[in-house]
Amino acid sequence: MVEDIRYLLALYSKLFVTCSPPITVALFIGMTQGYTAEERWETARKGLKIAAGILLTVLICGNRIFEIVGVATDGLRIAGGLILCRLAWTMLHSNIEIADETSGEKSVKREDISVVPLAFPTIVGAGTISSTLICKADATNTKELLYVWLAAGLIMLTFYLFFYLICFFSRWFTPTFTVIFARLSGLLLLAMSVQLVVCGVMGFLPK
Amino acid sequence: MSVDFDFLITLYLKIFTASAPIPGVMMYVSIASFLTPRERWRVAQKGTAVATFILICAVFCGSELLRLMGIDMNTFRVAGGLVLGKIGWDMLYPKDSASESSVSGKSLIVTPLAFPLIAGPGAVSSVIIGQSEAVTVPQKFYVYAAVLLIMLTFYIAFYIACSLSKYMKPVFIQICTKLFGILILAIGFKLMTFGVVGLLKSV
Repeated sequence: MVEDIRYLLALYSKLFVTCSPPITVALFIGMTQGYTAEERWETARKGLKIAAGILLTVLICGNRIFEIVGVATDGLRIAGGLILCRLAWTMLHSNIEIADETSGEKSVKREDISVVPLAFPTIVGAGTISSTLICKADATNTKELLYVWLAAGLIMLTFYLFFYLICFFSRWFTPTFTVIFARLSGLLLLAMSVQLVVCGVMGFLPK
Repeated sequence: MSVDFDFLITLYLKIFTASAPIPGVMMYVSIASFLTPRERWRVAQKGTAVATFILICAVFCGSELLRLMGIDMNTFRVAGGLVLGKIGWDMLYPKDSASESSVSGKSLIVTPLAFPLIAGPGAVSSVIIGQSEAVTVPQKFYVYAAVLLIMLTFYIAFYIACSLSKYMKPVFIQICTKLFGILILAIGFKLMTFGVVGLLKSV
């Protein structure tokens, strides 16, 4: 029993470190500047559902999915990196006027961020997919396989909780704060995306 | 001692060029031209204070945050270089400077004054990179000193600019902006090259 729990905890912490929910929600705040708390929660829920779908597909199909579609995780890494790069660039240079808060204009047309870049690659990225696959490959018997599923479910639950909390607290974030936050985290995100692309390219290079 | 002192001077100059006080201050003067000189000086003071806070935070926890996110210093150089290059390019070929009207003085303090005019991505990345390059304890201390010195420079520059702003000609401002644009573009490319070379070496 203790062994089982330890195994589950190991899986969970492995996944937690690769997808790091705290950083994810921080990025989420950065990319939803100008949203109200309700709109944020709406977007987050949609993104979470899609992310859960992606994770489920990966869990069911396993490695076969890459053989069918014909991409490697390194390819996903590059794609995710490029998506994040564009996101970071808009976060750094977007001109969402802070002065607009008083005018109360809400009919601003925004692009839907819930699928890309929220679900993929922010919540479920190449790292999460590959570590889930590794966990699945490491599982030797049905019981361990079950724990992999359980760990993935727990991670999604953790994400749900984190997103719920951040949406709740974002009520008190002033627009100025979110803009500054977006600019600063955009810089970090840009570095992260470059890192992803570099990792992907390195993976493709012959050893 | 002299090595550490050199470190301080180089770091100071790096942040100086990356944050570009002279065009920054001049841009501020042109943005805040609708304020009275007294108000302008007041807003500038507050903006400098906020920017100091941002930069100190960046020095304090910047590289820790990078490590937490699994970002290599070399990739951060590439990213910082990209951002700096963009700023330099925008300074050389400005898009529209007329859009910055119809704001009250108070709303200027944090954005655009403190961020990104004073403590922009350029200054933040050069400060974080400087912190990562500091090896000895006095050098780490000098990074903070450099930040404070830069802020003092900004403070003085704001003071001078606010008192002299009526004599400044637009042509002069333009020339300064272009000159610094070229410098920043060059620094951006240097950073990117360093980053790429570092990445290739680590393979």
